Amino acid sequence: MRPAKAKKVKSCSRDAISSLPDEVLAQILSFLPTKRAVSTSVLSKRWRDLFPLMNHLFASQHHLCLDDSDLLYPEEEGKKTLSGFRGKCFPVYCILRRKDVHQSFRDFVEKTLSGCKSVKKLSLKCQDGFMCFALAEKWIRIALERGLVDLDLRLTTSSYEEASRFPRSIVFRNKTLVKLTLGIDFGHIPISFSQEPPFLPVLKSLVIYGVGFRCYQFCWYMLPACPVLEELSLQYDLCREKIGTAPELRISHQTLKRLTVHYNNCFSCSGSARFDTPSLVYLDFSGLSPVDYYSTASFLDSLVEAKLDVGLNPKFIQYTSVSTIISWMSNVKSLSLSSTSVKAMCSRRPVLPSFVNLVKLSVESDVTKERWKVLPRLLNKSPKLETLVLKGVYIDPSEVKVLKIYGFSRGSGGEFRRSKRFFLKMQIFQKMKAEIEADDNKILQLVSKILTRRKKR
Amino acid sequence: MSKKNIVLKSSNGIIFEVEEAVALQSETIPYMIEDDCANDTIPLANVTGDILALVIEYCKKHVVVADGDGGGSSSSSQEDLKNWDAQFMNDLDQSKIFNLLLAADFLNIKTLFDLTCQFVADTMIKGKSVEEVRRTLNIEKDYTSEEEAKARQENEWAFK
Repeated sequence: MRPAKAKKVKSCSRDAISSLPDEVLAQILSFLPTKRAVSTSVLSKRWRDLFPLMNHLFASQHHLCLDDSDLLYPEEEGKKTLSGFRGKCFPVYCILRRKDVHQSFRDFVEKTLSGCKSVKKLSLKCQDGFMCFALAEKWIRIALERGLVDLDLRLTTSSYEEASRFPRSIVFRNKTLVKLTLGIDFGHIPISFSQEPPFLPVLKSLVIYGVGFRCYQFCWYMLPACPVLEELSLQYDLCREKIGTAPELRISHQTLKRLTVHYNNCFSCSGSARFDTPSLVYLDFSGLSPVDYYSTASFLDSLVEAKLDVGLNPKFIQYTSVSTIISWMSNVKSLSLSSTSVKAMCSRRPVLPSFVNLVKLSVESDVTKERWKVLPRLLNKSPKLETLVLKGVYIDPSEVKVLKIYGFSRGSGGEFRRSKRFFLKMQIFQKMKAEIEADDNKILQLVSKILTRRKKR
Repeated sequence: MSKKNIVLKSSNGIIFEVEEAVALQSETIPYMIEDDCANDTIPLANVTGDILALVIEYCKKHVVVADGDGGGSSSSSQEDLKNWDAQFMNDLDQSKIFNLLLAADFLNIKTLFDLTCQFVADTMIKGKSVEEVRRTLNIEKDYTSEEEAKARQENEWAFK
């Protein structure tokens, strides 16, 4: 099929984008965010027809992203003409304009959904009152009929009535979704599962932003409803009500491989955490250190990689420690510690386990030299370490006397630029030993530049 | 383990000899091998030598990694490969990129095709105004102002 299509391409000058066949241009559009892809219709007559073509042929590889939050804000001209006074007439003007915009958005969605054969990935973001939930439900249903497997749904409302129309049955009882991302903010109205239990038999990845239901509801009803789940991410983003204590986290799941828990400073006191997840290989935990005595974990043998960003509750600093969570890391191969974790480890000096398998250690810290004292302790406990990554190290280039460079590769541009700035600042260095790949001219040039500058002085 | 080599010939007659595993990342080449089995050299009438060299460079890089890790490629090697891809694309000028896109489409190398499409989308269209995109891509505006206004109105929400 493909070679036949390519025959259409002439082998004459093919420098301009206009010489690419429509199918290729349409595929380029499929890699753009939906809104941006649609906006290319004003480029030229040819481009006007490309989005419908993309939607017809390649919708399954396009991430259909429908976000009405852009429509909430007035257009640029409105802002300019009325920027001097943000008075009452301003919003009135915008609402009048917005109606058409909303209609054009709805028309677009209906046309796009009915015009495509298959949708794999859909993001739907609805802000308070602009795209009603009933409409969202209708659109999700159409997408599901067209093979939707990945749904990202962000719904915000403070209206009880609207919240009650949340399309729960198609979101929580769904036999086809493989990936589900939810950001639900219904103000003070939590979602309850007790009446209609969820059922997501093929769901492998679940990401929850601003958890819109009580933690126990999630742990007791939602998790068992996803028998083949492999990846779970809980992001406590909405801190409308300061609950104080982090909820008790009981993650019990046999197949779960990757777990991310980010409290995002939503809680002022730690809760306990119990992980009964024997298949877990990856843990990313950010929040106050789990309460020592009640927290347990059954992933010690399976865990390979961990990122810890654990802090101590400042009010009860003498009663809390990070010992427990650090002890869970005894078998990991890769461990990453944030500056908050390093700070906690410095102030409480937890008993460190032997990191028998640790190959890669990444440590971040701020300028205080004190904080780096934890590093030798970690290194002493890590007999197999191969890679050590230090972030936030500050060395004053003007103090450097001896510089040795091993295995320096240019990597991704930025690395080279940063190093260059550092090298050029070195005022007093006396000895330099560099091991550079022979063909890396750019670095050789830089080295000779440094050396000539030295000679001139 | 004996390694079979495949000989590719570009439209301007440049010959490249590559390992079979490198060439077979293209889904078109196997068909051409079947069709042209009498001859050992596979002629690629749509691809010039300089572009074919780039395609082969890409395929070589990607075959080594797939081999070296025995399938379960680690996250760090994935990351290296991503950086390599980014650098590879960054070093190309626009005309090379479009020709590479056509070559990847013709040779049906999905990952290279997607990489190039993504690069064009990200660097030449995303984050640019309509006028800037026209200029970057050298697109002639064939709309009258009324037609442009109408096109704009049809998808008004996309311009907010």
